[in-house]
Amino acid sequence: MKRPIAILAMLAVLGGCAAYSLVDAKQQTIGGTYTVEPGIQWSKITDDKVEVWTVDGASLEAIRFYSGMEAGDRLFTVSKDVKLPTYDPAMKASEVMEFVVDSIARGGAGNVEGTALRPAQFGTVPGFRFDLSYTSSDGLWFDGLAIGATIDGKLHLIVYAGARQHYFPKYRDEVERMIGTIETT
Amino acid sequence: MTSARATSLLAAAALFVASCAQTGNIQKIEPGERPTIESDEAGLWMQMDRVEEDLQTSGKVVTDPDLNAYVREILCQLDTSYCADVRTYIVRNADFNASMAPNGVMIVWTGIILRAQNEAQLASVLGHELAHYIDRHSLKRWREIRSTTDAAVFFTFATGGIVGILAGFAAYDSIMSFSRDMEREADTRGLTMMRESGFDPRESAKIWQQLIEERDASDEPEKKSAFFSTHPAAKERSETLAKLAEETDNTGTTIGRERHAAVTAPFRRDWLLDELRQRDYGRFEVLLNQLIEAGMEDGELLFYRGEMHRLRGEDDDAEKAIAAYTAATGSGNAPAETYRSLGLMQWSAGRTTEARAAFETYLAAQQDAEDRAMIEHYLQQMQ
Ligand SMILES: [Zn+2]
Repeated sequence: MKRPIAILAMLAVLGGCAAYSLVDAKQQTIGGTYTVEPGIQWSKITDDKVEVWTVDGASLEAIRFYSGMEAGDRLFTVSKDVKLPTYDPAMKASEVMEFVVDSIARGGAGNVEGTALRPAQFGTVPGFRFDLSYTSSDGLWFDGLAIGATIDGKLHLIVYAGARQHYFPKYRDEVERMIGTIETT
Repeated sequence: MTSARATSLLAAAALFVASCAQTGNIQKIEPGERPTIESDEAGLWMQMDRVEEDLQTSGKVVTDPDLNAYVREILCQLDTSYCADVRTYIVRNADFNASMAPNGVMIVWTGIILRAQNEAQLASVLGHELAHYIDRHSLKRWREIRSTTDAAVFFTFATGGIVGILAGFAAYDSIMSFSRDMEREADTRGLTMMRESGFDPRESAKIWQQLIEERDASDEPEKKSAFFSTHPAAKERSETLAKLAEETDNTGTTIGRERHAAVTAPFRRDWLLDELRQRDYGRFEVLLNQLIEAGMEDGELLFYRGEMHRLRGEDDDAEKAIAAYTAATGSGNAPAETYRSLGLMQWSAGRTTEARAAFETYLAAQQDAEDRAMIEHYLQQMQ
């Protein structure tokens, strides 16, 4: 049997080789393109076009802030063998959701679904929102939500996901509140 | 954590197994037979029993009662006497694979059920796996490894860096990969069971042939599927099975195409989507063609042909996608999403009149569309 490389494992690796730093409960700039204002303290690791924030550990809950994604960019990398979908600025909101959902599925999750796609404001910019659910490679259920917008052909996207039991609900209100503080620069 | 628990259990089982490995001839297991408590076989069983507990609560297991009853029914038709000793678990995974643990846990991936074109083809896979159980291939393999490898090394290998219970099975499976002789033995016994329980044994070679066609069309032929990595020499086996099937006239004739198509119909969309998400477009196209030829509902399959072209997005894929969606809508059983995808493609091509019409048809056909607000927003944007 082939062993799909789990998102969890990937996050664990990310956590292992990059140092976490603390995020204080005050306005934070993401990739120089937008700001959010957390109400609690988070820990973060930063990669090229993404910041991953977590409180209890990225394998339990994490909020990922993407900024300035361009044509050909991937949501994450798993391994050389795994072909992940790439972003295309011509994508409509439906296709961006498909891009996110398919990436999570290719990362090793099962039963991945994106639902309730709807228009939403990303700060003052018209964007979109949707909900997520999937099972991790361990067979554990996760829920999630995403909000994003394309500005000048670049995708800005926030994805929050956590274990359905306990962790997703635990920070949901904080995440919703933080989404309400988005300001594009 | 589940994985840590599984790992420590495996390690504990390893110690236990290592302490009391036995030698001697291995007979086939009898119906209802259980290993004696102090045997190395009991150690193997115990190990898999604990993993099975975790499997039972995994979200990756398909619990639909009708589908499970269907798979069990075929298994029990193959051999009534072993039916109670084997527990089948259908695991949602797009790849073609199945595995058999020594304690009677049989895992069947949805990728197999999707690809089996009839009851007989599914029976050929289940019969092959059941034969591994009857002939105690796990125990044989375990003793072979025991005689050449230190058990501690074996189990370090088996559990190293593993996340999760299904991965635990996967590692177990690859370490426990059966020898060519065992595979041949399982093929032969499986085929005999098919023949004697009324299934047409000629379908066994066909499922292999279908897999070979898929592999040959793959965008990444060098990247072997899970199945080809554990079951080598597909061509040779397909030929051997075809020959074996012709050896006697006294044989089953059930193919069961309609029933298989009807039972799997409610799941086919999800499983095709799982496969499409692998983004191996060449392989996916061949699979679609095989299913269309096998007489599965074509509106759905044509929709997925459109999806394949839309996602690939090379050369004339956009127009091919539109053509496939249009063909799907003419077939009477196209999913409502066909119109949404058609709308997106027409919009991208700058044909807003056609795009509007397609989106409006989608919303009319899908009254409770999850993305209604977004599609209505698209319609406003196009004005
Ligand atoms: Zn086998």
